[in-house]
Amino acid sequence: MSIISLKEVSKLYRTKEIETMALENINLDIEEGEFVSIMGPSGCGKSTLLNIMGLLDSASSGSVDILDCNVGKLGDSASARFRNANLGFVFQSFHLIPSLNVAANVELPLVYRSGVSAAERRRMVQEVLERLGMSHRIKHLPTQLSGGQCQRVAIARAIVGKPKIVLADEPTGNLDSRMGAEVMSLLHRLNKEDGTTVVMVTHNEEQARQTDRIIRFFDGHIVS
Amino acid sequence: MTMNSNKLRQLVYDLRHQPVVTWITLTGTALSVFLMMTVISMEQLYTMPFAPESNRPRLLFGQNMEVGFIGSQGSSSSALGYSPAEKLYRRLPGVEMEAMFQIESQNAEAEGSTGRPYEVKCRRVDHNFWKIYDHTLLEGRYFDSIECAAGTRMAVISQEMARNLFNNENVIGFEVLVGYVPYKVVGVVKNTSALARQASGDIFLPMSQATASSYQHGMLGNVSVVMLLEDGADKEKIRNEVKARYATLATELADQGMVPIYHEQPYDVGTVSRGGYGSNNSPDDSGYKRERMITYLILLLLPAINLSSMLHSRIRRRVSEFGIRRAFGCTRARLMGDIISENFVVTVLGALVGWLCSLVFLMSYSGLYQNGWGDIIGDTPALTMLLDWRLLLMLLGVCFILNIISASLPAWLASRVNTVEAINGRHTK
Repeated sequence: MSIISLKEVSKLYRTKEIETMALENINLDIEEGEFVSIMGPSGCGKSTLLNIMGLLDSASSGSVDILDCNVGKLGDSASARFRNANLGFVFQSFHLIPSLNVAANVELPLVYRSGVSAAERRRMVQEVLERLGMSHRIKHLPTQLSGGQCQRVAIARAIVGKPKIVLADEPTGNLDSRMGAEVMSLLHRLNKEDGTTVVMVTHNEEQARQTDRIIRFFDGHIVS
Repeated sequence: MTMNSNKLRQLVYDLRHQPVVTWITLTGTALSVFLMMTVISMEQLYTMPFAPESNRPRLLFGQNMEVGFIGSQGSSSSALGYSPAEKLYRRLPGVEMEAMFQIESQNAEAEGSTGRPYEVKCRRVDHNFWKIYDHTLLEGRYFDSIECAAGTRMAVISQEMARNLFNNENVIGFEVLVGYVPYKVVGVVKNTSALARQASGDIFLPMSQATASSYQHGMLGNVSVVMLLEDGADKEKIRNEVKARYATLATELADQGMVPIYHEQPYDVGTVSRGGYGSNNSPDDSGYKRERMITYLILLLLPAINLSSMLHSRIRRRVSEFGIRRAFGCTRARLMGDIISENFVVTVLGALVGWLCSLVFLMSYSGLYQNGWGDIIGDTPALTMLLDWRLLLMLLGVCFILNIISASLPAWLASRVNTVEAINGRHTK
């Protein structure tokens, strides 16, 4: 059963001077529980695709169905609620909020979820940090953590709300090979243990080969 | 728009990491609130009750007279003569008592036993003046109705004047020269704030028909009337009665070729304290309110524009954070609310500084505390007034408006930045 289904999705970026077709008539189905890698050269549209799947950007044409919901028709609030409930994001540069400690960073998605008490939020944060081996850093600021630790915290933030889908944009791009391997291992654990669908953009062929499927992109088209 | 500990922590971090912007923001807010609170407080100080003007809300003033000349365009105006003051304002329905006095004190030269002449503020008042205004009598007594009517040369002086003129506070029976005329001191009163505009003075002399100045056939002079209203008295009804008496007076004066011109008298303490009118025109309350609103608007708008650009600058540093928040489920409305509530805390902080500055300014304002700083420590009416909850509520209101004006546009712009652009730290708005 497809958890993500893209039909004839195109994305056109238009400026005063130039029009750029970032994605052209993309058809793609991702099954529930799949771990998919998206590969391709820089500027081929991988991140754009991920952003459209993550409701961070909208398609210029075509339809995007996630969890049987046509997300292209959602307004700002509904879209935000959908992201909060079903999607988790992991970024190459971690994007932790520097002024907040580890616990507060991880707590972020729960803050925007209605009906979760402060005590419940604390419990969930503690639980996920223990699972990722970061509970001893709970009071630390991002600046006091290594790159690998930052990405662990970012993964904790992505999964604390128990999303069905995690979208990872080059999650190991800023890490050395050992840290990168650790992060990949975490994503695989998530995928296997929780059945979370993971869609990952990567340049790393070896990491991509460890996933269920590789989608190769070139100039806004899926080539294989 | 709630402010939890994480948001507060974030706000402190944000403020600490942009010290210049923070200082400009706080100083701008403080300055704006300082100016506004000073203007508002000064206005309050002239209308709120405190000794010796504790009855301010119950007072009405008959002040000024303009007489026109029949068959001519000309008119003559000044304070009232004693006789028309009595005809127009004595025993009005709803008035508990009235006093004839000089609403503006006069400068005069006074000399006591020290032989050193002093420039003093001198005010002629009748016996009821002491009942309407609650001065604190330290020594002796006030003059009574018989002494007033007889124009007896006696004086009540302030404590400070007793010290200055006699080097002594126990001066009952001493002689003081006011404008080279000798008066016997019968009472000493506690010093009063100069903000008690109608009741303060250094030397009080008896006011009567005999001592009041008079010209233009007695119609004009140096008399004003202060009326203490009964509880719940209808001020409009009293004004209508005064208007009717003007009509009667007009009939009486017709033979002499004069007509008294009515100018919405009597006035309440707000109108009198605002001034802006003369003896030959009516107070323009709506014009005054319009001017005041424009002043407040300018005092709010100028710093708001400045604060808005400061906030915009602070927000640009956090654009990536806002993108992340949006990615994890924050709606545009929530983001705007969060930015506005954060800014509200900054505004309140700045406002507190501004309010403290305005307190210090008002306390050191010349004449507010004539008795020196000793009074501030005690429960002085003026200090109570400055700490009045209504004023503090107004302060909060000012903060809220300032915050809304300055934060709405930057917050709205921040909420409209494309999420992907924002996450990558690019702010297109």
